[in-house]
Amino acid sequence: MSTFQLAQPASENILEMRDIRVEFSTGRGNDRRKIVALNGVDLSVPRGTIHGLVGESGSGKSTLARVLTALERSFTGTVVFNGDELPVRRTKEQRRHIQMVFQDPYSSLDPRMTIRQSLAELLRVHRIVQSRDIGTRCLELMDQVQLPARALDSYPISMSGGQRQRVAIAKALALEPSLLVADEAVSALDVSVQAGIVNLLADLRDELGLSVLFIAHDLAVVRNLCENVAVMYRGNIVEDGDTERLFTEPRDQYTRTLLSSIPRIRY
Amino acid sequence: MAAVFAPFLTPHDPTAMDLANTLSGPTAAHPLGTDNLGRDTWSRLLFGARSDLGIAALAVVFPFVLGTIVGALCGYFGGWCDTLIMRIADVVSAFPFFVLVITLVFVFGNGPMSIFLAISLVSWVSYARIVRAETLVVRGRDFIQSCETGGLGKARIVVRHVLPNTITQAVVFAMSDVVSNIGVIVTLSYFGLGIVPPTPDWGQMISDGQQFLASGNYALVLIPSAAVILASLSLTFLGDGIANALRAKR
Repeated sequence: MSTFQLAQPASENILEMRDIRVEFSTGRGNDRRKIVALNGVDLSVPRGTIHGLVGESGSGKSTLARVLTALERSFTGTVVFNGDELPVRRTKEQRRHIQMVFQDPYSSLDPRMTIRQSLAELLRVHRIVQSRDIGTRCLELMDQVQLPARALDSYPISMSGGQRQRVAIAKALALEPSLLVADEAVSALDVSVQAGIVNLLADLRDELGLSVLFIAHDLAVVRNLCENVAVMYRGNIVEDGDTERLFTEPRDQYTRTLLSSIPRIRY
Repeated sequence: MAAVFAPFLTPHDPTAMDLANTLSGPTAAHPLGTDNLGRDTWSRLLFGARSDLGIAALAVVFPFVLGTIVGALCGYFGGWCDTLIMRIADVVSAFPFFVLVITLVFVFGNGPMSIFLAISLVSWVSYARIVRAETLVVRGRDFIQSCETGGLGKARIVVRHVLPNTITQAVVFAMSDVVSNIGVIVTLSYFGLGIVPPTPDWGQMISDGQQFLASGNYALVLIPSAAVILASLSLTFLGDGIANALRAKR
């Protein structure tokens, strides 16, 4: 399995987001209303760790991911990545380092492209490898996400949800990012398939030193996978810290409510 | 097919007159008989197909290309430019299709070129609408967003990812548009607004033949009419076939 070299550490945290604020307005005229999606969020992700981000639907988790990947451009605050502040309009190179895996594996791959075409396009556009090495690199990527090489020439339609999610991860890895944003990347999958993807993310962290922002609402998965967890509630991060401490002695009232909402099976 | 190879399949020049042999029934030399000026009906039918189907197809290509490009750009980028272009499209489609086409043909004068222009100016709107609507759907899907986070250029996203996923609808529409164009061209020529004699065309053949209906010579009207119906039907079936083939690939 091939590995790639990450840039030399410029700071302890791969990512620091400071005072991120996003507002949407909905309706017209008298119905016009302002919705605060993110209300001054601060978040730091230490290098080479998986950082969980949990919270109920509508708490702003996905908006935060969209700010991070510059899909959402109307925000205030600063995003410091690898020691450098990222502008709102990013260059190809700046985008390359932060990759995202989307929630729905059925809509995150272009249905008209084979897996090889999708991967090769990214490798070519970013000049990651020489064009004669693209085929080899595609094979390595498939190997990294534990998919058979023959899947390279199939279309997404012939693949299962779990396989597609692996392809989505391979696409992200193709660009050799330092940070992977997994926005509910396992929520749409069966439990057994979920485990496979979660283990894959853990392996990538251990082998490549990849940092991951893992957005989820399955607290059990988060507890197993993540070194740190941040809890979001209504556009704010209410608690952020070491996973075990947060699960055993939550400080914030909302965190306690969230944790107590885990269904327990009693025998 | 027959239209393409018309010169090899026809025994007579479609404009050659044989005044000694007018309004004849089918003979060995003239399989479908002759008209009032002694012109061979079979030859005129095939050459007519050439002009009608040719312009109909041509008048699909230009609006298809223009409308698809405009629709994809408007749908993907949005903004005031999109609003402006779509309002223009609204204005164009507010007029009944035929009224607008006939007016434009009047303005440009008779002939194949003006029919082509008139149809193009009106029907690009449909393509732009279809592709724009599809683009709006596709743009919201994750794979386009993943192209953006993947750092792909906007032009590449539109050409390589948006268009291949939206163009199917436009292709299917184009097939049915050829059929409606045939109707338009034949109708215009029937009214003497379209293709000018001596170029043969089905619409003219029908209107020329009309005067002999009373004398019991139905063939001159029925043969070109049947040709219009057959051509339209076969193109419709072809369109359906293509639509199915494209859908199967999805």
